[in-house]
Amino acid sequence: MNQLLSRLAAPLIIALSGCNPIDRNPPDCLVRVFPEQGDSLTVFLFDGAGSVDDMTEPWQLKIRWDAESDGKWETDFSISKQFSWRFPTNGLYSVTGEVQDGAGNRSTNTFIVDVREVFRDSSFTDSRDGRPYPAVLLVNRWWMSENLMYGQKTEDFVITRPNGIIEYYADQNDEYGAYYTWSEATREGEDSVAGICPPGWRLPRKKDIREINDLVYFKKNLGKYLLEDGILGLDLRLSGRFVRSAGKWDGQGSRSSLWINDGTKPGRFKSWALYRNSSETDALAIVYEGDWGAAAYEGWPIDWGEFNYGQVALPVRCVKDYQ
Amino acid sequence: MRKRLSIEYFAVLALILAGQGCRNDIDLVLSSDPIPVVYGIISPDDSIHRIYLTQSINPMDSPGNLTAAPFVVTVPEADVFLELRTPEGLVIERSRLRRVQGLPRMEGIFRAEPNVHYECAAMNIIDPAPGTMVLYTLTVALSGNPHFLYAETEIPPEPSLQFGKGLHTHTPVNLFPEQTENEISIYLPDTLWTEFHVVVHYFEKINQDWQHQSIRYKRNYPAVIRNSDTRTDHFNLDEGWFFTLIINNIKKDPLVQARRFDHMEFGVTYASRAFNDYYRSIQYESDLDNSLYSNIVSGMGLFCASNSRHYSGFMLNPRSLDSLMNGICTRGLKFVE
Repeated sequence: MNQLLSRLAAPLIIALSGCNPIDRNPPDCLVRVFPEQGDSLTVFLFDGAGSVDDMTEPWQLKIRWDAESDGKWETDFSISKQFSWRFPTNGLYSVTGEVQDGAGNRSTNTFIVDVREVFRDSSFTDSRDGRPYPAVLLVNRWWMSENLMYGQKTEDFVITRPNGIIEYYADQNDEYGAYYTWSEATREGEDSVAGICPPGWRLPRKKDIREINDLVYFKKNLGKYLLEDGILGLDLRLSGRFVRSAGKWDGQGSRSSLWINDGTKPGRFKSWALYRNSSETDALAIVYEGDWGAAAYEGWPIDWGEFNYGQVALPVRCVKDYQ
Repeated sequence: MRKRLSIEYFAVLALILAGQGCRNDIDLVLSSDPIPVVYGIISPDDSIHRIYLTQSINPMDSPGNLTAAPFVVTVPEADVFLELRTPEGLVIERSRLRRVQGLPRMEGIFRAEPNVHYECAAMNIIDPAPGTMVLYTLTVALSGNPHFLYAETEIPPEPSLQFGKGLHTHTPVNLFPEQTENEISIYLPDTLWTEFHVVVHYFEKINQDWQHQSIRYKRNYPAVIRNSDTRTDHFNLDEGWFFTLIINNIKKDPLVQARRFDHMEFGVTYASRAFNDYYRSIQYESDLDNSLYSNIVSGMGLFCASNSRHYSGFMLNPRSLDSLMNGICTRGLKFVE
């Protein structure tokens, strides 16, 4: 009997330890959600295809999902790694994925999904003069959906100078709101971040414009999204500009330019151009005075003198970060 | 001694087999829930986007039957949305599709009752600029137990064909020139399924009545990794190809008193990768349930997009027409001027 056991021992040890090692390590549960933010009609896609294990092939890993991390699993374990779900009401939801390897080891990963109105119309009042403005929430930013009209109107022939009074030019029909020089828009050069925006609001930055660009990344039909009654609710006006040095109102009804401020270089002049009949090459653009070809891009005739944003008055739209 | 050895070896063998056998198990779990099935191909040319949504009440059914046999499907009540999303997934446009009862279909997918589908007016943003990709997302929320389907597809760019100098719309084509004059170049995007087609339109006179007929020739180019030198294919509209097409597709018919060539049409279609994979899975469909391609998360079926362009009005010049009417191989077909 002892002889039999001794003969069996070696193959047993080899079989149990060498050929089929015991898997005691749980898999890595790597999941992603697409999109990370949506509203109550958005169907979110959860994907655990990135999960890995040291012993089990990825396709053999099984995963199950708990859409609200309440311990009630919405799915059984399945080799299908994707799961789709819609949340009925706004709020932050904790979603859990649990992955299981061939040996039954499990690991979980929990992440947050933000469900809220991504685009929302609203309004606010400028506490300085009681003027109401419509506003729209675009992803993470409130945007004024009307040009700012704050300060004191001045005549076209007046050269605005620092005098402690915010002054603006207005087109003949008062159709497009106020046009400010960069000096006036930055509170006579004192604040290039908030500028003359209502308390809590600030001038748009390059990054803010990039976010709008992301919303219209397909480049065509910009007007359908950005102009009046557009899908995004931004209601940009084709208000053009006032060229103070030439005394010209220019671009009304055909282009939109707004002051923006690049936080890295405060005080420089920027312009945001939008053309109604955009071709494949026209898109939202941020134009700097020093850019090559900026004068041509801006359509600056020679008889207006040297191209200079200091001679231009533009409307202002303010933004406010979403809380 | 021999008996003891046998026991040892069987014991070791059993241990090894047992140890290996517990790995690589695949659980074949059959769900008893109905399987939702989506079928939708949208195109920039659509005035209305239509999505077919059904569900099988037979969980054992094959994908082929799910989309063909009327007695195993029901049409669920559902919230169906078509969305335009940015690459980050932000929904910037959303259309709710409404449930529509149509007439029974005589052919194609869901070829009989219930012919219910969901539809919405076409979104007007389906012509992306070069180098950009527009993603359409289809979401379905089935009523009753929470069950949500998800699918997305890119919209292919508008295709175009390059014509040789001998090929112009409404200009008679000479089938006997230098071949490069009648060459059509087809650009083949790597990630898209491409179809090039030629339609020959002609009329048949039967009982003194001229009736329109057509012959369709097509070439498919699956979306596969190609040699970079073959991203463009060339098609020569020469007499050999043309008369072979005519002879192979038009048969002598004593009822036909005469035939008259009308014009040719060329077209090219790009379809998203999902269509390519679905098309190929149909070609190689086996009895296995999983053989049919699906890009519907939490369901089955196909959601993809195509984009087409057609060039019509290509005639034949007198010499080519004469060959069609009097050539040895084709004169029996009774073509007349």
